[in-house]
Amino acid sequence: MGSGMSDSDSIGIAAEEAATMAQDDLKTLERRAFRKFYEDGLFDVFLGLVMAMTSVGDFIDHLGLSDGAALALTIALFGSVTGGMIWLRRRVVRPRLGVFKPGPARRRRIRGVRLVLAASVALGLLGAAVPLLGEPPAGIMEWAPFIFLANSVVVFGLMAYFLDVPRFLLYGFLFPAPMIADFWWGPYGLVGTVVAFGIPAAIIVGIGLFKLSRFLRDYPIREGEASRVC
Amino acid sequence: MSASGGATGPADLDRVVHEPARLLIMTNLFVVDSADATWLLQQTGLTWGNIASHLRRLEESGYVAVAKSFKGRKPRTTLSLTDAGRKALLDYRERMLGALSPVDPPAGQDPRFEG
Repeated sequence: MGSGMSDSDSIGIAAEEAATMAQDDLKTLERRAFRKFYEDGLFDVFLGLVMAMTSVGDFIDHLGLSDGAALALTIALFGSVTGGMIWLRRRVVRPRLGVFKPGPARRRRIRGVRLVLAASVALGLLGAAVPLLGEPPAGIMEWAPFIFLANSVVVFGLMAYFLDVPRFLLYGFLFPAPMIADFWWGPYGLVGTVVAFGIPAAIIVGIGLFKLSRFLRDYPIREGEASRVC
Repeated sequence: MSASGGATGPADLDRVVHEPARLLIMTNLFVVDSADATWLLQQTGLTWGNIASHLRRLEESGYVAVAKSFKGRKPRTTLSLTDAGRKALLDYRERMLGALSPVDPPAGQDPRFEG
């Protein structure tokens, strides 16, 4: 023993390390199993399309529809995007990955995400209510894009942490990008709504589609006799 | 010393758990509450036939619970590790570590045992 440690000491440490390694491996196994469900890219595509719909909303405004019809069209678009994602998850992802119910530790993390999202929505509603409640505090509207940026980075950052999907943090910066563009270049005067929302939306959809194509390549449907297990 | 207080030699290892494919199935089910067969197939890389035979053995040993149900007209099989299965896997881990820890190679023979 070069470090003056006895053999039995080092063997004890080796056994302890092995025990820690076994625990780490189970953790890795769980993390890998869970992360696979975000490797299909569908959430990314959904997020990007929701963002892109904001610019589509600008087109709808120019169609000269009544408020009700414009709202119905927006809801129909949102519904078809959401419905399409649910359909893809059921018909494309589930037959490839199957389903599982996460363990208690992961369920706690998912609850954490829900809490973060609920807090973010509450903050958003509060922000939307500020102008309705009367004159907003001086200067707050100038800070609004940065408050939105901070909120977005915190929410997506916590989602990235809780769900073990680091790329969500990138979306935390991309999501408020149009608002920041508006702040610096006027009401999309320089860049235009379509470009302001379209570029980050296209990046997110692009990442999602890339992930989806790799997912379809890496996880083929394994035909077989599932009934043998039943 | 094992959790059960018995001797810890390789001969004491639970052979149901010790088989590599079953160990793979059990470790995967250990980290979740329950899963379906497709998930297990994807996670383990085993074939349907392999999974079916090993699951049967694990079910007979009381380590895995297999629940069959229908969603619409499609049959669904939900697999989960029973309490006995979880305990068996933890015992196996402890016994395996116990079985390996008394190894006492001459100093300097194996660099992995250097401090």
